[in-house]
Amino acid sequence: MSEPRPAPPRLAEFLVRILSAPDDRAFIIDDFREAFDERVAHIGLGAARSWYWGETVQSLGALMTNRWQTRGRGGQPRWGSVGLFGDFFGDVKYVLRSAGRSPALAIAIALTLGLGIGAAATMYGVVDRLLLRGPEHVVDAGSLRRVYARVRSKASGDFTTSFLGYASYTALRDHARSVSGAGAYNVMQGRIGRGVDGVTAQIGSATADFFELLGVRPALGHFFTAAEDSPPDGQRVAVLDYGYWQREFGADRSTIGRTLIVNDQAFTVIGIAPPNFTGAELRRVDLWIPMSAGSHPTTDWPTTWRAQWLNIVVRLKPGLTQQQVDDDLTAAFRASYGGTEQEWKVASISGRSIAYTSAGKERPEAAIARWLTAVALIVLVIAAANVANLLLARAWRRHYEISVRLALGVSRLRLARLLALEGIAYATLGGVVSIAVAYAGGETMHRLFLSNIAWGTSPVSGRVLFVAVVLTALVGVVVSLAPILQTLGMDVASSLRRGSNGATTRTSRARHGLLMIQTAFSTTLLIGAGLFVRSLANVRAVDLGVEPDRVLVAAVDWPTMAPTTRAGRALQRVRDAAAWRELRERIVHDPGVAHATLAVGSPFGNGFGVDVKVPGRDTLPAAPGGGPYISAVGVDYFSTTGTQLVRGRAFTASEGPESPRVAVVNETMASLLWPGENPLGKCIMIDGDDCSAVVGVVRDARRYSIQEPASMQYYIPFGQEKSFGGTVLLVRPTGDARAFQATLRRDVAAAARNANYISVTSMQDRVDPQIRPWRLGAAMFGLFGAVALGIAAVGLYSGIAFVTAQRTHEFGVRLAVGSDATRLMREVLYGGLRTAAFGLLLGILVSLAAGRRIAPLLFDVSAHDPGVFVVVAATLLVVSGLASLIPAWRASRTDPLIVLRSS
Amino acid sequence: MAKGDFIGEFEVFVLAALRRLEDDAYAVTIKRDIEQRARRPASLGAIHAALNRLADKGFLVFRISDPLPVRGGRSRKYSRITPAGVRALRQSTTSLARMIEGLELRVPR
Repeated sequence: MSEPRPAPPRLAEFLVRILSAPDDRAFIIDDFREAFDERVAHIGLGAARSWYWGETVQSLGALMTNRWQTRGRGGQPRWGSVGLFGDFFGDVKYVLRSAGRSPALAIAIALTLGLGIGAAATMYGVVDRLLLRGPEHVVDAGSLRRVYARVRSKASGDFTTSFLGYASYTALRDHARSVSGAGAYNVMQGRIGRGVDGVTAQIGSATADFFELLGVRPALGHFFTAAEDSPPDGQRVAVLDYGYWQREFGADRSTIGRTLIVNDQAFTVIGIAPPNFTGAELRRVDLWIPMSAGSHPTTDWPTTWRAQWLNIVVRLKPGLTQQQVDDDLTAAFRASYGGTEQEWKVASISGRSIAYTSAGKERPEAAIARWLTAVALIVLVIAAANVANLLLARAWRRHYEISVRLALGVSRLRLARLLALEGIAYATLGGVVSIAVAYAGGETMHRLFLSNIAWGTSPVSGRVLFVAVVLTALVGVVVSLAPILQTLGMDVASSLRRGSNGATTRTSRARHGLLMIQTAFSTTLLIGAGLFVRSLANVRAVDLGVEPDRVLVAAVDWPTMAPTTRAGRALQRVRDAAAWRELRERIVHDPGVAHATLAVGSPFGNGFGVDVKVPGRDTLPAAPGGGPYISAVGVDYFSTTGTQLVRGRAFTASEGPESPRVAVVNETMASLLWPGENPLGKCIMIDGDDCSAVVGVVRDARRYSIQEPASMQYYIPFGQEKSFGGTVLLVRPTGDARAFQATLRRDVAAAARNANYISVTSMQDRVDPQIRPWRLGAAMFGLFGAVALGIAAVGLYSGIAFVTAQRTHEFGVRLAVGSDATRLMREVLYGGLRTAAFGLLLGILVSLAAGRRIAPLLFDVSAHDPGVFVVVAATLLVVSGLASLIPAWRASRTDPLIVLRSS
Repeated sequence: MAKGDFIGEFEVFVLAALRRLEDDAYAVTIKRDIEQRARRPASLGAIHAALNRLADKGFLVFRISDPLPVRGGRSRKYSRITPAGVRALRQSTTSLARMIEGLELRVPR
């Protein structure tokens, strides 16, 4: 055995190899090798190896030029020999010409891909804002956390909340070592301006360090400083939202220094926030004021541990684990806690994403958006599969042309390039359409389903555009893959022999596979759509105990003398109540009003709880939803809200502050306090008073949420309430509530001319946000499902039509030898249905598997709801039956004479 | 000589080497010849490129040898200058000679 030959540097040799012209490659490599061997003998291996590198580097340019120049030499015809990148424009021209020959196909492909790519880009835009990018102007949102307290409470169960007190904020700011900064904020509805000109606005109160923590810079002026935000009474300064500044002040720079009435107090404008700044949440804020200048739950708010009304945001120091941070926050909180509540003393503090809700959970919109992104990608896959199928059919139709070209010596690579270019050209058309789709889709999503989010920018941002372009390129490559593979593997000889109407089993298998994938995915999407539609129907059908869609809520702020004495306050109450009664009197006689009532504490509005005792019981039993909760309501209340009276009577017009004490309880309260007994005439002692006699029982009504456990509720006559207040006028119009909204606002403004402020809203407005996730899911799944079904149906039709056309010859022959036409028809129809059935089965399996994950998003519907599955299966089979019918009919009408003559 | 048939200095070297090496002219020997006589580097890549260019112009023809009689022996791509190549070589060198005839080429101090 000889010693192994000394080898040149492998990388250098590799470079020489790939840079050499293919014809010369072997000689060049060997020449390099020979010269290298010589040098090994003379100057040693090491020096020879560095010589090889030097020689390689010096040869690079010449080798490449040589390679370029040797193209086109030799015997191949020009069409096939210009390599992978030559004659690019010739190919483009060819592709455009062939697209121009069948414009309908080109348009169908562009629309299909446009819908697919556009849907995916739209959903990316939504997910980008909701999950990826965070609020505008926030620097490094990834290292920000909202602070949550997890409290284990015996009375109200375990709960997690982001609402904490100012004392918690100072504790974490000063003592937590895992954070580099902290800020606190809260956003409340407030009022800007006075009298009827007053408008409701979102007022953000924030500590001075909040803005620095987020990293935001003002567009004009400055954010307030620590000196301006000094507890307990900070300076009355305000920073305006950019949009608000533009709307209300015409972007006038001299707005700085102007005075603004905010919640009846004068604030000086000191700055303008940058455009689309929404703080740490995706929620519009019209005005930012110092935390210390806002309204507070108590006078000792800077130090008390009893009030929880603000959110704390911290920025983590780098390199810490979640556990370390949580431990540190918890330790800092517990060490500082100066309150008396044992549950809070041992509360666990954690930092979680600022995108989470106040309960520390992911927003339902985010979960649904994630699902919809998956759905959009599925639609894209279906669209791509469909287009691949169409292009495959085209390639097949041209297979004779292609095999002739191959026989003439065109390289397969060159043909593949042509097909890829064709795919990319179609995808580009689709990409252009997709941008329009993404724009329209994004606008619709923003406005109809996610209007509670402050989006800021146009739905087609640079990032969305980038995603659309990447998807377009990807889809272009993917859709050309099938025809390319087919061409690369084409057997020229047999293809030529077969002539222009032969069929290959391999192509049709690929096509059947693609059709099956489409059907399977459409099935999954339709099942998803069905589940969401059922959820939405269930949500809508929930008996809330009230009819929020029929009720308008009018709030009026009467002028006050700001009484300081107890007597003065009592007088004020009497005057307010009188003003309310007068207002109701005027409104209730409006012909458009069916019922009107006054209420302190109303569904989806305020709730109150006061001390209640029941004779014969030491403690009250606990209802799953808590309580008892009290409302003071006027005559006609239950007919206004639509809450059904089940026993006894409602309050009469004569019942008021001076009349005997009476109460109406809800069914849960009646059954818990007096199980099996007649509650009418029983006594409850409210807020330390004497007996109030129960005169009626009403159905349970929801207090604030569509999904909430039953709670104890009771009602007392309007005017008998003592320790709570906040009257609203509830109006039930005879006709459509929303249509009456403007009229009512006008009427209330006319009746309450001296009011500081008036608002008229629909009670449904407070319910809608809770329904939104299901509405979003139903609409989007439905839309995507319909698009997918449409695409799949067209795909199935064209697929079967194509396969049938391939078999025209066979059918002609069979008909000629006496075969039955209906039999042929049935055969084609069954063929289509079989493919669809396989796809359907696959889709059902996928849906069953995915069911567990989507279940939390559904409302009162099993993810495996048999009804939905059956309906979807039936729809799919009917649609695919229809799609196969036309080709089947055409097959049965084949004219054997024409077919036989042509062969 | 047509304009397109003009050959550059390096190609002149290569043609000259072919003339001298006769039947033993392939990239490695050409490289050795140029480097020894002209005292300038000639990379194998450049030589191959030049050979292809000259072949296109018809100044040389290639001949692929049988594999060398050793295990794993290689074939060589030999080049042989054509009469047209010889003419081009002569043309270039005489042009050059005429151009520099009588010139003082010492650099003045």
